[in-house]
Amino acid sequence: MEFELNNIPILIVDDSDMDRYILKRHLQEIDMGENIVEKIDGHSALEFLSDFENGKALYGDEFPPVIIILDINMPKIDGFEFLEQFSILRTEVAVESCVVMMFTSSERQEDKDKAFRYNFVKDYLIKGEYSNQELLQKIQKMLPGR
Amino acid sequence: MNISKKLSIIVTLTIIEISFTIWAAFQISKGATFHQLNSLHLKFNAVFSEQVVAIQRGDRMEPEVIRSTIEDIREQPIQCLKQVNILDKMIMKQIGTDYALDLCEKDIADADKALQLLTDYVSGTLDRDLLLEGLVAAAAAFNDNSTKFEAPITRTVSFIFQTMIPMVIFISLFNILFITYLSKTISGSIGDVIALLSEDSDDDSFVERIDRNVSGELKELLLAAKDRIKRDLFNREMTKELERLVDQRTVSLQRANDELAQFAYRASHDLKGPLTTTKELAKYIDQDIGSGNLDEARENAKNISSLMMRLEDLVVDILALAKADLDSGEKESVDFNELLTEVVERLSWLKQRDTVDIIQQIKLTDQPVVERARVAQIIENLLSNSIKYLNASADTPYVKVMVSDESRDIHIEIEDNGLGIPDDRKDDVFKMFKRFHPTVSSGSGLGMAIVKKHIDYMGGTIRFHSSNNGTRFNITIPKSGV
Repeated sequence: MEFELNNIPILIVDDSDMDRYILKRHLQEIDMGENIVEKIDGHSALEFLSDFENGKALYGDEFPPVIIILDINMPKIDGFEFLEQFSILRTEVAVESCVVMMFTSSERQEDKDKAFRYNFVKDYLIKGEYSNQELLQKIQKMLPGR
Repeated sequence: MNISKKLSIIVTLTIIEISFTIWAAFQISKGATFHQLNSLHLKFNAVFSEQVVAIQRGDRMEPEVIRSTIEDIREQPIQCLKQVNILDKMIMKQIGTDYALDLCEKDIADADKALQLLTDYVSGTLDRDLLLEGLVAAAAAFNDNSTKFEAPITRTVSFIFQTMIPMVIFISLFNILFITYLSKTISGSIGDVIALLSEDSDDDSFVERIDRNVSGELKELLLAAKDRIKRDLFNREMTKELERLVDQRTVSLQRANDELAQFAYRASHDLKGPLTTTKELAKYIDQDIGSGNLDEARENAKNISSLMMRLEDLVVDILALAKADLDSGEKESVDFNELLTEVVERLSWLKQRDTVDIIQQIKLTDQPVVERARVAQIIENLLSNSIKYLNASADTPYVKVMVSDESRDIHIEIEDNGLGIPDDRKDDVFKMFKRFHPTVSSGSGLGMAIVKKHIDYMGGTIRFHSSNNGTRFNITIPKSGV
């Protein structure tokens, strides 16, 4: 399903209210804030993605999200655990179109390496250290077929 | 008797034996010398007799030649007497052969007489016939002496032979047996010591056995060796022990270093978060005021406020953690009632504080002397956790603080009916930056680490028991000045 750039469905997974708020404002500033779903941890995000029928019923064509912006440090199921379970989910449910961008304050190389092991992780964003310009460029690069 | 004494006895005996044998040999050879002298005496006497016969025949007389011959004869008994020593005289007296010595003297006297005759003749006081007479008599006397000389000498020599040889044999045998005996005892002692050393025995009985069974130099040797080996072993043990300590310290240091590195990373990470967020929010406040969106701006201003409070708490706690390792406080005698009131007052900012029943039970026999600040912080941190993590669905959330003492320790017990510590996190309780219920409350994650540091510093202990019905902490702090 082809989307306009400013209508691309985005899922934000982060436990911090303020981090989600800030990211949302950034996305709004680059005119991509129309279609955002927020989940506060890996568990609810996985539930959301795996419940395909419900998702389709609620969101129609805008489910599943094209882009998932994923935090690492979350309670219960953290970012890496999510990636692991999501990679399994991709073989069972039609969510292969989703691509992931990590969104974290951790600059550790080992965390980057760990995330990029999954082929659906396309980029890595460090909180507080990106400009709107960079954010737009990264998202554009991630989109399938562009 | 010790070994060196035995060895010196062996040496002495050997010297005696050798000396004796040598002396015996000399004595026996002396006999041969006497026979030899006697032979010479006979030979010269034969020459003398011939000379006398020649003169009787009518040959020309040469007094000097005769004199010389007589002197030759005379020389032999002189030599004999020279050879004889006191011991020889004693022996000869014993066996009655000492008249051989008188014979020698007689022989010398006879020779002197003959020489005198010659001198008289030459000087003209004696005529030729008388001289001849005298000389013939002298020759006969010499011959007689010689003949009589044989027997005693032979007798003396064979006596010496008969006594010396057996004595030498006897002494040799005795020596052989005695020396063999002594060497056997020596190698026996050494063998015993070897057996003693080869046995397994502990140190005390070993020394005792040395004392009892070994004496003299071997004992000294053993004791000296034992001490030496002990010292060497001790040194080696010390070295091993020191190396082990160094290894231990190194591991300790490495671990401390790692912990420090980890702490620095986590702390800066946790400090950076609120700062970055505040930076962004401030930007949005600016934008929102500009665009007239005052409600949004106010909301964000409040958010910044609470972020900064959290940041402040974190910094305060990091400082407290660092201070906990330093020897800062003086000890004072503490009124725990006062202390608890103060602590509860300090926790008034916790929004749940009013919903929690705080129960105090203080049973102290006196006012303990402790570092007030540390004890206050321990109680405050534990109380604050109990309040933060109360079980909202409990009928009456409470936290009980019980302080008691016995002779040497102060006991503090803090019990609540809150959410409890999850089973799988029990090992993380005192570690830094660990929060178990982040959805309920967020703190610096350092509170329990600070508590543990204080308790370790004061030499106390802390244990806890927890389930989802609540948690109980038991703390023991030794009293000081006891």
